[in-house]
Amino acid sequence: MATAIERHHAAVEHHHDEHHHHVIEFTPAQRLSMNRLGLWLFLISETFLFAGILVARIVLLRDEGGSFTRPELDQQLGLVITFILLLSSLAVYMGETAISRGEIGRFKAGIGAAIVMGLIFTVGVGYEWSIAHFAPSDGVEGGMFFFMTGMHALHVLTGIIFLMIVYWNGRLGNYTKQSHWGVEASALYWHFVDVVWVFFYVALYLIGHVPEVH
Amino acid sequence: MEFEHNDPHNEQEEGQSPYERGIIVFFALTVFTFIEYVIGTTEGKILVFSSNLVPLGVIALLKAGLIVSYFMHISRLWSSEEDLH
Repeated sequence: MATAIERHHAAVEHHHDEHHHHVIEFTPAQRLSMNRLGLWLFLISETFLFAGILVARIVLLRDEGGSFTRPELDQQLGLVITFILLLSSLAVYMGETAISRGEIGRFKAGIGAAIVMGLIFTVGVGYEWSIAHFAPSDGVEGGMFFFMTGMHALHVLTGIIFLMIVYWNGRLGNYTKQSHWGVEASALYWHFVDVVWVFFYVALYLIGHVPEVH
Repeated sequence: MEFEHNDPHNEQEEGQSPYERGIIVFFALTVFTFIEYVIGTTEGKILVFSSNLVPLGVIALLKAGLIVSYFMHISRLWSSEEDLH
């Protein structure tokens, strides 16, 4: 006579067999829809990370009177690299639009330009680091500046890698007008990194005043 | 694995091509950024606000809204399955 545990195991196996025989088939449209939702949920989780960092900057960088302060940075450089990152988002948008119309030449031009601009942005941030009047260990100001720009630059580099993979796949002819989820996903990630910089730029370069004494 | 796209948001809307729309959005982002720069570098001297946090925050939200709406196509999330076919 079978024990209760054996009967349970048999029931579980039967249940599993049923699952194996009833594989749910999704249409391409359903898969695309689920992919989009999954990526957006990931981006929302990233938003919490960057929002937390932003709140920390707002709370911590103040003077004795409670007024907002900011690090002393090269304003012109900040404006130029911000412009370049916005322009790279336009290039990615153009590339994604092009592949959705089957225009492979424009796709490669857009994604390729975005990769170059992403690299220029990263070099710009590196240059800002090299000329900064403070080090990461120089109090809250130095810590916040290098933490915020470092976290963002890490995401920019990740985005550049994604775009390089997408560019290479495009060269190989792996994307078509009808099928290019990889392009859409990497474009979404790149635009998200751009949105983060929209807030980090004002938080680091523009909000508050530069304290007179460091 | 790749899935089929046929997104109506990539097609022409109201007689405007997606390329033109992208350039217009980028132009708006550039203008907003320049306004931010002016507000930030004058440190509120030309504004009535005691801190530049509020105007800069509002402009940053507008810029983020433009990117999320037009470049990231957030409306695709609630596109019906029929739209995707």
